[in-house]
Amino acid sequence: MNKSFSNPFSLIGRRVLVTGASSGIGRGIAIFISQLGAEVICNGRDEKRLKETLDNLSGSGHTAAKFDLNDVEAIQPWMMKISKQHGKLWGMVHAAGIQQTLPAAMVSKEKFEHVFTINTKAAFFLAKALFSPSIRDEHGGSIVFISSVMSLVSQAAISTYSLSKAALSGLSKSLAVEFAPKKIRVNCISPAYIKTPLLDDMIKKWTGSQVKELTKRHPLGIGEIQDVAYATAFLLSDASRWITGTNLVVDGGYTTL
Amino acid sequence: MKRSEVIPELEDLLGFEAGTIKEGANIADVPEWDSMAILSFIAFVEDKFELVLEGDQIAEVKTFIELFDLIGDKFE
Repeated sequence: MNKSFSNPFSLIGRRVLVTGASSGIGRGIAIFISQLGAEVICNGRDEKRLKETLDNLSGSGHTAAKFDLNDVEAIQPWMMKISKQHGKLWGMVHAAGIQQTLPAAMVSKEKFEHVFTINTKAAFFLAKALFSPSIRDEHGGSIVFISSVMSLVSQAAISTYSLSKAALSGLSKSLAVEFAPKKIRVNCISPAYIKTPLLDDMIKKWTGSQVKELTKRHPLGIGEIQDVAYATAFLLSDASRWITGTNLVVDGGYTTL
Repeated sequence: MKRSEVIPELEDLLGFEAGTIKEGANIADVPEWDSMAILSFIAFVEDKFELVLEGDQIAEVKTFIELFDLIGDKFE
């Protein structure tokens, strides 16, 4: 006799908003969670690149939702519109992010805010909006902030990036407690260096020996986009139903050295 | 920005004493010119001249003359 089995890793019937879905880690997450059955709302600023993401998704019911997250006050009405059009949201993954390598002496108020607005402020307002009864799925949900190992360890000249990511850890802990009564979980993922177009841009400013050094810093080598996508899918699924307020480090051993 | 304005502005940004950077000097002879200074210089050039320099370009130059030559025709 076959025992009935319900796969706790399945995302069938889950509607999930993914920010930064037009490239890199966000796109990889959108693609992988669609393969697990999620209906994905893909956010980004570039319509053409969002379309490319949509073309790579499995299953149906996916949508491109072009929106500039710098406009934090407009996040709630925008998500309200999405939930009216497509149905309520089970989850949200904030993968949009800005990396900034800049010595402290060069950081102006504008440069500071440029990073902080997208990485941190938008994370808060996206989570706040998702918690609204007219937007969230009444059965519960899961919020995942893509943070960085630079929230735990750091290096010179990334102060704005490091602080913007470290803040997500505090944010997720407080929201985890506040949203728990509605069965909404809130977690962070902290990847080390991942092969993305963003990383390619970054290392252009480095010398060849700096690039070699970086590879050596990861006992398992530099990460792939899927490595973050798998961890994200886990935190979105019921397999992680007793996990909230945590920071899942996905770093190929970077922080153990 | 004029070429002659770059040195005083950089020295100020990096917290160097005036005269630390001399256009004719070898970069290796200025111990204050470290990896942070290089990153600052890249950000400075991006800000003021809308030009993105690459790490390898900067690693190859020996003197400040050659370094500022990378900005080329972007000077006023």
